[in-house]
Amino acid sequence: MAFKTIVGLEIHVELSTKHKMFCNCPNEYGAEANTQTCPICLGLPGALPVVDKEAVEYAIRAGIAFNCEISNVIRMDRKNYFYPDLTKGYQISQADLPLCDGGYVEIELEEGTKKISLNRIHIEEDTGKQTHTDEGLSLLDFNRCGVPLIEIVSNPDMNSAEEARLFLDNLKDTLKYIGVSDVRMEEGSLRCDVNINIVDKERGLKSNISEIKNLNSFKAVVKAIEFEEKRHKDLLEAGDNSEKETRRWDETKGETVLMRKKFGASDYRFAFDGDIPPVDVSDEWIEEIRKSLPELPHHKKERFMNSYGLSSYDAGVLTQSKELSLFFEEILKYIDDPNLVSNWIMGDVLRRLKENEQEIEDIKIASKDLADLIILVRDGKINNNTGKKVLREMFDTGKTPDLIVKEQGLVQISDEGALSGIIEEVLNNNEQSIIDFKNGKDRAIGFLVGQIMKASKGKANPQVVNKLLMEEINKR
Amino acid sequence: MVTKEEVLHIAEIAMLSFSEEEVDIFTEKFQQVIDFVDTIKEVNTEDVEPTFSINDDTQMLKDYEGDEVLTREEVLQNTKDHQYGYFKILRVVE
Repeated sequence: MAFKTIVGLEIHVELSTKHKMFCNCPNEYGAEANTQTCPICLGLPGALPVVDKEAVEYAIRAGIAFNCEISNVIRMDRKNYFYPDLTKGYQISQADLPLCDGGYVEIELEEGTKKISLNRIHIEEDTGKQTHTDEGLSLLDFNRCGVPLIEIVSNPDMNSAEEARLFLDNLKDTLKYIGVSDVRMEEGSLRCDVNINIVDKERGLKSNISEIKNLNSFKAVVKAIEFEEKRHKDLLEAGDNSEKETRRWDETKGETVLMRKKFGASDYRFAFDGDIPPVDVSDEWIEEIRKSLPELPHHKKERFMNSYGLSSYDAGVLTQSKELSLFFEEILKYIDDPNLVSNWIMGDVLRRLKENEQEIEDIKIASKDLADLIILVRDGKINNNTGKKVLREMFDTGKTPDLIVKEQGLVQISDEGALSGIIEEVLNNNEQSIIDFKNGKDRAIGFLVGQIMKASKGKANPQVVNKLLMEEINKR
Repeated sequence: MVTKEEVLHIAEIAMLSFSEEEVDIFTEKFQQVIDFVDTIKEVNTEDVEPTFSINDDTQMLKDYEGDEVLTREEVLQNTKDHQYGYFKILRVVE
């Protein structure tokens, strides 16, 4: 049977503004409970919300980055529901008129670029945070209440878990690039809900949509989609169907479980928020914001491929974070060899960062120092292995490569006179290896080179060693 | 016609519980309200722009430098139940 999976995503992103959406409480993660609240975000009687300029600017930035139509007016609505994380009994959100309409995100598939269209991006406020205790109690912290959010709603244009992952990767990278959010899923600044159903093309059947919540990593999104694909398929094949319902991803069980039946949209009794008059958004302001945006990751990737001749993969990795791409281009100012620099970064630098569990932002190495190191290796002043050792030291101490090379006496020995002494000595001590080599055992050469490198404390220039070694052996 | 089921549904999303008797009363009252509001349909609204608020003024956006927060003591002074600086309530499971 030919099944087609249909996935739409809803992503909530906390904006990293200075203040909350409607009040002047600081917007900071991790403060002590209930120390960042005020009458407005606590919903105390008489308090009046006013929309934050920076939050709107950030939302517009996102809207422009994702190719949306930006509205010239902001209208806020009340979404009514009773839950302890909302003191007002409603969340201030946007219903009919989102700030950003439409838009799309492009993902790279093997068969080419696919456009995932967006339905909208709207602004709203975050809710408080509940902690449940073992004694049947809930503890409420309202610091998060009123933190500005954008909700990005995609159309159901994705057809696999992999497409959803690529979409999320792109979204996350772009949001970080344009500086509107730190997009940390583990801190809840990016949260994702999945809508999924499947279509049985042959029989003309489709399953009812499940909405999956509580997905706290991209891996969980992928696993939940795969789980639901199979669950829906099995139900259809058994002549049954899924319920239109909200489910929750249970990480430990590795499956989705039913949550309470969802309210219909009309149950939220959306209504215009009379406390917040409409706000004008001028074309001039939108244009100003558009001009202030940095080069977006997919544009930068193309530029890296075209101007530096990098592969699509390398360009993709290097442009994934703004800091990494800047670091790369900084180094190019000192050494005009994009491929060589790319190799160093993609190889040893990223590997070391991963080992140290660091981000590129944490790196102690100045771009000029890394450029100097690459030049030292390229020009044969130190050999490749020594270069890696020096890089390690640079990571740990932040010292310049010149200083490290000098302090540890690592300068490569290319001088034939100095090397032939060492080679002669090694050969004299390993007569058997010479015989082995002459009897056709090529491996013996490797052993001899190893001994010579050891005797030179790793400093010998391998090319010179090879040349001199062959000459010396042939003489014997 | 407003049905009993609709009233019960609205009671549920409003987190209210009614007795049998109250449900009957509310069903009737809801119907009266809806009948009353229906009279508005008699007004001709062709060519009339929708009204969202009592005046058409637009508002400025806020753009302050400083923070304005309450202390935790102020925040918690109106609640009887708090612990470790949190509001304490009976657990509500969604």
